[in-house]
Amino acid sequence: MYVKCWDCKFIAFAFLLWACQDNTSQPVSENDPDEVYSGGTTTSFDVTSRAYTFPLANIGDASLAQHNVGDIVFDATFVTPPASFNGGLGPLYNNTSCKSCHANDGRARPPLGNEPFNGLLFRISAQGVDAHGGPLPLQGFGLQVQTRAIIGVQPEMNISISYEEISDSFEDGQMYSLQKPTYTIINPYIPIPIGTMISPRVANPNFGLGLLEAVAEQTILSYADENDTNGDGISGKANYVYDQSLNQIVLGRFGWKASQPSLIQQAAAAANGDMGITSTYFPDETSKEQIQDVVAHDPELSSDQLNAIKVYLETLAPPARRNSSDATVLKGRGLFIQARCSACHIPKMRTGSSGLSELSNQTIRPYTDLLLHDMGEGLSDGRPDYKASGSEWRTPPLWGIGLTKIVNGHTSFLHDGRARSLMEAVLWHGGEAEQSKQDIKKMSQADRNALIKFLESL
Amino acid sequence: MKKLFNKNIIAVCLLLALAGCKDDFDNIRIESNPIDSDQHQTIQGLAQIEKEIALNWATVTSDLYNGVTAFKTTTSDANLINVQNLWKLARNPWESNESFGFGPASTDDIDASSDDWPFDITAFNAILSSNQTLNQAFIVEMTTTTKGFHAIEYLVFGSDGKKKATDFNSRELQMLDLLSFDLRTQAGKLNTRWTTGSADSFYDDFISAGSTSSSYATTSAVLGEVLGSMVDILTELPDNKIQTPVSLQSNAYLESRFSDYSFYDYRNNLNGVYAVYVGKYGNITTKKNISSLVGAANPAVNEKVLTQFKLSLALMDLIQPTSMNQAILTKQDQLNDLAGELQKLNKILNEDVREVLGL
Repeated sequence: MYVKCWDCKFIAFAFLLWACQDNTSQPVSENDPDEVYSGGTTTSFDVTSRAYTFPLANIGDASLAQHNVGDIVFDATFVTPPASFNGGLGPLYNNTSCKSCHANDGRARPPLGNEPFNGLLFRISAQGVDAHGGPLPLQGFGLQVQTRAIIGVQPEMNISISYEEISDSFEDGQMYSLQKPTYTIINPYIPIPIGTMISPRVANPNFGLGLLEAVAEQTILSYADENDTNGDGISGKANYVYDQSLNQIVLGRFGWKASQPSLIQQAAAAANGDMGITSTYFPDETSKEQIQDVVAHDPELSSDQLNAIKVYLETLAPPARRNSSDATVLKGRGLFIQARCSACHIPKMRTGSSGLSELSNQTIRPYTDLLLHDMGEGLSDGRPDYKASGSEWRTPPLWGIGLTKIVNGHTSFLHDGRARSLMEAVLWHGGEAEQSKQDIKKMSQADRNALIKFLESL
Repeated sequence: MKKLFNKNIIAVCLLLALAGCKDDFDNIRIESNPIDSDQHQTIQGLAQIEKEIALNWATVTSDLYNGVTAFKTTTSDANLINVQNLWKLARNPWESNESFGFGPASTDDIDASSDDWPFDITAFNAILSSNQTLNQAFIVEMTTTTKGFHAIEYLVFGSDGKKKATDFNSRELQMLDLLSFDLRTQAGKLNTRWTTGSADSFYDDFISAGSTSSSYATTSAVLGEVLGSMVDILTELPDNKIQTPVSLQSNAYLESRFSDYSFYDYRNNLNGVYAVYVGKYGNITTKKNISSLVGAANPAVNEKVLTQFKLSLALMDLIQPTSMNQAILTKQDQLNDLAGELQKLNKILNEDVREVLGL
């Protein structure tokens, strides 16, 4: 049958409307031909150990200049003052540079054997909340354990990790084992009160953060269903946290519990807590109000340097997907959606407007909703963080996760790196994700392999 | 005819409209065959070179440790000079290794534990003068800026390069012993990971790119990895290692200032990149290498690279005497010229070679 021209036009018009629609409110897409572009036009194409280290593909000259300055500061190794340059380390610290924890801008892992801690740190707090509803600093320790100190100052404590193997099986009878960590505090410099709460956290990858910051608040909130009004067993809750520069409570976006509102506050907090580097955001040394207090230095990170780090983090590009059209990968993608993993790990969203035009109005595929979800008691750290309870964690973005092995040489996942593989990470899911996990446990070996192939393609 | 015209118009409009509502994707990649035969042979050659470098490094760090043991037993100037020379010999393969800065050198913290920089002289002196028990467990826990090559260098050469055997106290000797043992351990780790058949052999993963490798899905991914490392060191060498100390007129920014061995570090950096490009290191000469791959695809680009290597190496050799501590004060123009040529070499590798190899 011959189609009339008018009919052609109508079909074309309808198709155009479909093709151009904003998919913000359509989180699950069955057919996404541009899925390879994890970060829209910012996406980088590299499959080596540098995959996370490239600036946005569409970066302009001005942003690139700032990015490059930030790259230098991010790479800087700090030493004990007095020093010719890069002094300011400590007095208490966890590591000497940003890159020591975020190697290749990637993901850290817990130490193996007698390795020192590089990239796994511990939040600490007392019972109760601070003036802004956040964790209450523990007297003598603050909000983060520093396991290292310059000579003459005692580290706050050492911590050792032991693991207990927990065996279980898939429905087809195949056995698996998960390792449950136990942390032992060794030689605290002062006694630790009963009721102290400690939470382990591994360093997250750095790329794509500017895009996540550019997602409009209303987009994130559109995914929330705190009271599970739709009855699907999955809620999704926004964290609201204190923004120091605004002096107000705002939406939290970054960190394992979404307890940081902005990249600049995240960067300043990490410089201060992890390295003892002061800034205008955090002008006090990590030992302030502790027994071993030292004289505060001038900001060791200038506002320009801090801003350069912020731009650096904003402008690291997400890596492209690999093998996205492979039949097994496509099958795994279907299973990911079928098991409703995509209810929280939302595949696709759009950014809003950003101070950096490169980040504005991008269709991105981060596989997160940036919301808190109850992940069950198995993953609970028992330490509330603003609105996040002990068992609630922010949905971690999955983009780029398949490159972890080549970038960082390991496949350790989850907030404390306990999962030794992607499947172990899946099997630790509980709470709101319990049903999804049970669905996956019922899958055949071939289907489970396809699911992992899909995750490895991200 | 009219109907056909209308259909074509609509189709073109449709395509244009679709293109308009897509993001501006102009970098669509076509996945290449996972294994290219010439690339595969090149990778075998690259693996042989790195295996040899790692073995050399393991050997000379073992020699260094033995030399330290002899010096600890007989603390004489002759034995100190021997240790100083062995330290320099241990630097050579390590600084030639920059084209293999990925893999275990990075992920196993071998680079950080062996060659972190800047050296934390304040912390190191404080450790020496403290009553901290010195043992291997403490060395493992030490911040990486207080151990490795530059801590050993500081101990054996002194802050002014004039250290004598009689300057050593027992605590310094103990620290030297522990640090040289730890450096040997790091070199051993690298050597093991670059040995075929070893537990968790990176060598095997590297050479099986495109087939059974758990890291590299294609042979071109490995070439991209190596080329990326070459570009990294050819960014760091002119910018951070040469131009920063020249512009700030301070040897505090030189890599091996206590031994004044920075010139040789930099020469070895460049030698290492050249060795990888042409496939020649020590007694190893590879039939297929990056140069032959580039030459087969575009002889002019290969010639351009080789010419730029020759120019850079020649400019470097013009710096006489080879004291970078002095050169940054007296030969700024020469050093800036050298940095400029190294930057050109970097650009050629990062742009022309990348394009020729389709990386």
